[in-house]
Amino acid sequence: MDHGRREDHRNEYRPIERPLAATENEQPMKILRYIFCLQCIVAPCALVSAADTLAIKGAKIVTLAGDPIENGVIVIRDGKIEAVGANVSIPIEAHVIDATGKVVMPGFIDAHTSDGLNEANERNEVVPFLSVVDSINPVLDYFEESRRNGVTTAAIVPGNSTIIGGQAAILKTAGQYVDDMIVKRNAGIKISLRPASGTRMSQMARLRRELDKAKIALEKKKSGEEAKPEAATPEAPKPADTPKPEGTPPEGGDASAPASATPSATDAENVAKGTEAMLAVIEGKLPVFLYCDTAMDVSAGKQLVEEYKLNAIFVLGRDCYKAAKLLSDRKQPVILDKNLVFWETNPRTRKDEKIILPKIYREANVPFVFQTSEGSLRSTTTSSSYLWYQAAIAVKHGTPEIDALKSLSLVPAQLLGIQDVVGSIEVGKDADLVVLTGDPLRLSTWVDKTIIHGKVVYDKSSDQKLKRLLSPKAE
Amino acid sequence: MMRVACFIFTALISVGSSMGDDAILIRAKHVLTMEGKILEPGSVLVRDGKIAVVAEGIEAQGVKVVDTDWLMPGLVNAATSLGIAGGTSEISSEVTPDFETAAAIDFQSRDLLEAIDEGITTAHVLPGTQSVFSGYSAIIKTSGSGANHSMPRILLPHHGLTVALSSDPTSFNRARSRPDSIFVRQPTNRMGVVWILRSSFHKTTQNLRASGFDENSQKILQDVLAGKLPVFTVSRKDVDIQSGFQLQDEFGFKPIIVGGDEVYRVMDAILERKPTIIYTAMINAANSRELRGTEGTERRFNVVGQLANADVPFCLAGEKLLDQARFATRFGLDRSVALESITSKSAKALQQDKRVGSIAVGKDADLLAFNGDPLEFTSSIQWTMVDGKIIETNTGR
Repeated sequence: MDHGRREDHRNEYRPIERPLAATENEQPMKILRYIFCLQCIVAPCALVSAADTLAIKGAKIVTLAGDPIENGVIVIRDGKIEAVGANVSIPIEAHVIDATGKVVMPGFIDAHTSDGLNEANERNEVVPFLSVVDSINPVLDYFEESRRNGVTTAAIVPGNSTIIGGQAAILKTAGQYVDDMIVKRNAGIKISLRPASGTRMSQMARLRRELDKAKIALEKKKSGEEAKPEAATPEAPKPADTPKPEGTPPEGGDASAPASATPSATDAENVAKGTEAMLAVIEGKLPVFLYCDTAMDVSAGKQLVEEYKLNAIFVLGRDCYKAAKLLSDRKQPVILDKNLVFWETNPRTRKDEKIILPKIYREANVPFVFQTSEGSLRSTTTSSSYLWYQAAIAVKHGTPEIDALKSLSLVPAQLLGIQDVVGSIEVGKDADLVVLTGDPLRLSTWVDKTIIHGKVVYDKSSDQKLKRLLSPKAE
Repeated sequence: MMRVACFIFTALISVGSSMGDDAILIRAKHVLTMEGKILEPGSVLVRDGKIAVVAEGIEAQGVKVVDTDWLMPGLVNAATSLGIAGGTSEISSEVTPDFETAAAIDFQSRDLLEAIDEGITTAHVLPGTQSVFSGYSAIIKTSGSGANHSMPRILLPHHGLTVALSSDPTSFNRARSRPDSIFVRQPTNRMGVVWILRSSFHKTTQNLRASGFDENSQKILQDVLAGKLPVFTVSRKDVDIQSGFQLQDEFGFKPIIVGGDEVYRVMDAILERKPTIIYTAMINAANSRELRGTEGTERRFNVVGQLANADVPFCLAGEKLLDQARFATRFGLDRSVALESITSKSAKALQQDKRVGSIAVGKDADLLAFNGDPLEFTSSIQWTMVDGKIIETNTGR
């Protein structure tokens, strides 16, 4: 599967080489280039205001910040929402999208995904110095499919197979370069309580050791000692397969200068970056995406969070439902497993039970957001491939529709700490919008347009790939 | 039958009180009969596990009355392995035509509970595809009747012969150099699969014993060639489907295609021959890795829409039937056809349309009650009725 994926991209890169080879049409090219340059000089003065002002009229606007507005208008300037309401006048210079009969919602937010990364997990188990930003590939299907499905923002988080994974980033789903897409570069760190190797005991011990190290470093820093970041972390990152020596002293001082290992500049840099990140974690400045695999991880995780005062976002495996009540006093949304409904057989009583996650968490008063299957957008047409489908399943099992809609946008925005920028249709926020052909969560409703920063980044009417998928003929 | 049908759709019907204890009158705002008619409102009287009366309104005394929003027939899953305890394939041999899935179905298994919960009332249980001649498929009900526990849940233990016309039977096999494993058997490649099929049928036509067959199993091939036993060929790739057509031309039987992931690649042949297709690629096209890619140019969302337009007999089968119908509608299939493709069309593909698959007088009382339009993702099944007995949907813990 992975292999195929890589091949796809090679294909996508190939056309870039072609212009280099074309030398015959030099003359016309030069003229074209000249015209292009001219335009670059002339165009901005004349067109800037018109190009950067957009108005959407006629739609029902589900703002998620109040009651829906029937036949409303949204005015967008410079990528931000300038006005929204029923009686808003459209500026004369605005480019107008007539969305009569359609429904506009804030763009959906994928609160936790490892799609969009070339590889989800690092083989080294403690890698706080890494950042997903270095691994994100903007031409991956994930981003295209996200736009097609109304997802405008995504938290790209390392996978669940490391103890301390790299740093997550929050991105807009459109852009040519990663840097154009970033909303928040250091958006959190992945900590997984699922044993990567060995026992839960050693997993916990190693995790605590890292957190303690950071804690001590923080104390030193606070007490005015001029502790260099390097000094706080005795271990330089090891090659992937080398086991870490157990029993390394937690204090930095004496172990910081092992005569044998002379870390390269990059290693030192990494160590510094990792320490910096862990300090931010201990200070509560950098959120922790805390992956709990089973119910016992939830109580252990909660203990960790309280002990180290972590700013934690709970990412829950499907079996964590047994500990749902433990999470009710946090008042923080959790990220549910992609399998919202499943059956299991009680190992003691042999009783078959149907487990409905949205119902259990709602009854336990734990707000939640959804995630989709890994790689799902590429391979399947149904089930947990789409955020909106997950929301529909929640509604089916008793979640009020407005709450389900909020958990597609507003709730994840709050959870990720980006609610000032996205998550609802309010003046001043980014103009990240989804224009739906009808009411959300309905069978026949499609994403008609996806808008990011006031730019239409997806339009169903010109979606050739969708047309091909819906056409039955082979090429 | 027709005469009754014409009569019952017309008006209010009064029914006397001389009915059995288990009679139930169901009144719904919408009754989707799958007989080309939607009753709004509609009523269905169920007696002795069968549908007794269907009308816009029924007045009956002394019967239990149940009200609901939407009513449709129970779903028919035309290709599944649900309930089979243990493995689904006899991997020690490539030829096991007389093996019966009916003998392996565990009626206490969770599969059946899940099936009822998803609205499936009738299922066609196929053996796995590790063998070329895999065995007999069975048609079962997913629940027995509460009123009559002796009512068999297995409707037909020998419904059809399952044949793997794909590379599946080769997947673990290897050459006969080291005879220390059950996987040292034929075929080791796709040529071998087709050869075993062709050779077996050919020998049968010559009244010779085919390799690996005994008297009983040879009789099965004779029944197939005589058109007495339907053949379900599990074929996903275009070549597999084409090989099936070749065998059809050579031996005269008409295979029913199970799988059909790449039918769109051989659409001209499909349109010409109009084989029955039990399409299982709606959710996960290409479960098998060998299929070319999983998406991009290889995926098609509206294959069944095209089959429907071309009048090719088909139905949807496999996991999550309701969602399949929903997505098929979303991708272009007509609403009513989508619902038929998990009920009446499935029953037809299994030749059980006289018994199940629609709401009509005389058929089994297999019904589904919904709290909303069955094709909406947000609607849920309230109860499933099998043979006149209501099973409330599990609301979870």
